[in-house]
Amino acid sequence: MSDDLSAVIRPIAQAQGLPNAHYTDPDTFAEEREALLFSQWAGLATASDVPEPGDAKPIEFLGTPLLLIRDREGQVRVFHNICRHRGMILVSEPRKIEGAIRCPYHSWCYSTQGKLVATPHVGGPGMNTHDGIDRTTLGLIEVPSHIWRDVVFINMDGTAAPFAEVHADLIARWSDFDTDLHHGGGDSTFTLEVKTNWKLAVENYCESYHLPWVHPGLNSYSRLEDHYNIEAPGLYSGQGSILYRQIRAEDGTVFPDFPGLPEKWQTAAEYVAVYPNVLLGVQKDHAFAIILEPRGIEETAEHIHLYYATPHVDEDLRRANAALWKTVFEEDIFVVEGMQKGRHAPGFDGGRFSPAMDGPTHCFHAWAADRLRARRPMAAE
Amino acid sequence: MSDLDHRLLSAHAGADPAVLAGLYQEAAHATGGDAGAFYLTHAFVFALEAGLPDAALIEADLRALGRV
Repeated sequence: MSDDLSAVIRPIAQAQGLPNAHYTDPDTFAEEREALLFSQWAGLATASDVPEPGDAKPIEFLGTPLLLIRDREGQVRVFHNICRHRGMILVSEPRKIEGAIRCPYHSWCYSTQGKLVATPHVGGPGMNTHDGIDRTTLGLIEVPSHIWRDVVFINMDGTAAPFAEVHADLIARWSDFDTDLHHGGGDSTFTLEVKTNWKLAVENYCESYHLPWVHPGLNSYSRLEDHYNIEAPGLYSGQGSILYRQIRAEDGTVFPDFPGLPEKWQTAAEYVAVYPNVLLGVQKDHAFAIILEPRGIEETAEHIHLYYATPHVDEDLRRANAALWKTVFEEDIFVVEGMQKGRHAPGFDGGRFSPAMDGPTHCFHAWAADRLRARRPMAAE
Repeated sequence: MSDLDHRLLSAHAGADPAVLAGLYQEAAHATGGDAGAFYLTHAFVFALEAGLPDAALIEADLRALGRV
């Protein structure tokens, strides 16, 4: 199958989009898992998923069983969810770890920091040490992780530069919002199961071109001409609006603003896809994070979380806000599922971009193509 | 089957590690020797799992027996 990525990285006016194989072919999916997800800082979950010390949540990420846990000192960590003895799954459902993580098979025990603290009967009945078992070398396998804006980013293969270094540009861009985020709780999180490749969800999110057609309800207060493209090659892309209008209850109630924001954010908002799989939005009175969980080549779960400036906000307004965003994100489903089906048409050549409107999407495609090309033998193209 | 055996089986069914730690300590004290070390090992594991302060004391007992 032809997979010429050189066309993807041309200037946008001449570029083609990623070929169909990148949305339909199992081998390409496996290649992208390594090049675009495991070798980068990918979004896994939120720190709010494990709010208290000892909270543990098993999560499968692209086939790898992981354990998200907040250790006794309050630090969020990610481990391979397996015992170093026989590879048994350690934690099979979300729960509180009161003391140690005990493997349900032979009861090897680990601290919440991942240290192997007990190996019962390893030297024979009632003998709990053996010269051949060095516990200091058999702790849980930890995956490098970093929390930013409550999102737990992980670097599965351990090759990425530190998160703060990789994303210094975006962290600086949004430094005005470097303040406490308060998750809205159970009614401010929802998951959408979508029959699409994860990349199409990124591509749709980061451009504003589709807004007047797919989200006509936004036209009244968020017109296309009020948007601008955001493009940071190799890092992130998205869209901004110069006319953000906050949600308001009939009695005039609004959410409190994040503290200390410069005047420009009174009417501005930005929506950015942090490559590979995290979609973020910032506005003066609330923010959101969407973690795209690739469950298969053509299957993605979108985990949406809404955040506020204070621990408690008006309950009815909070619910209305979640319902509003859910409507918006659901309006996108037919688009990403339709594009996914379209990728099975042999005649589709990756498509052409609007040089004026599709810059953020092309930026993402070029990022993907660059990373794939860097890992391929020269003769492959 | 002894009363302690019954209580241990029942505790395993209930999967409460704090209860299991206490019962295995009781079994260890009732037997001694290799069997006692076996039960004390179980008491240690369940005390660790439950996060009981007793875990450190049980570990010290096992260490004194040359078992850890």
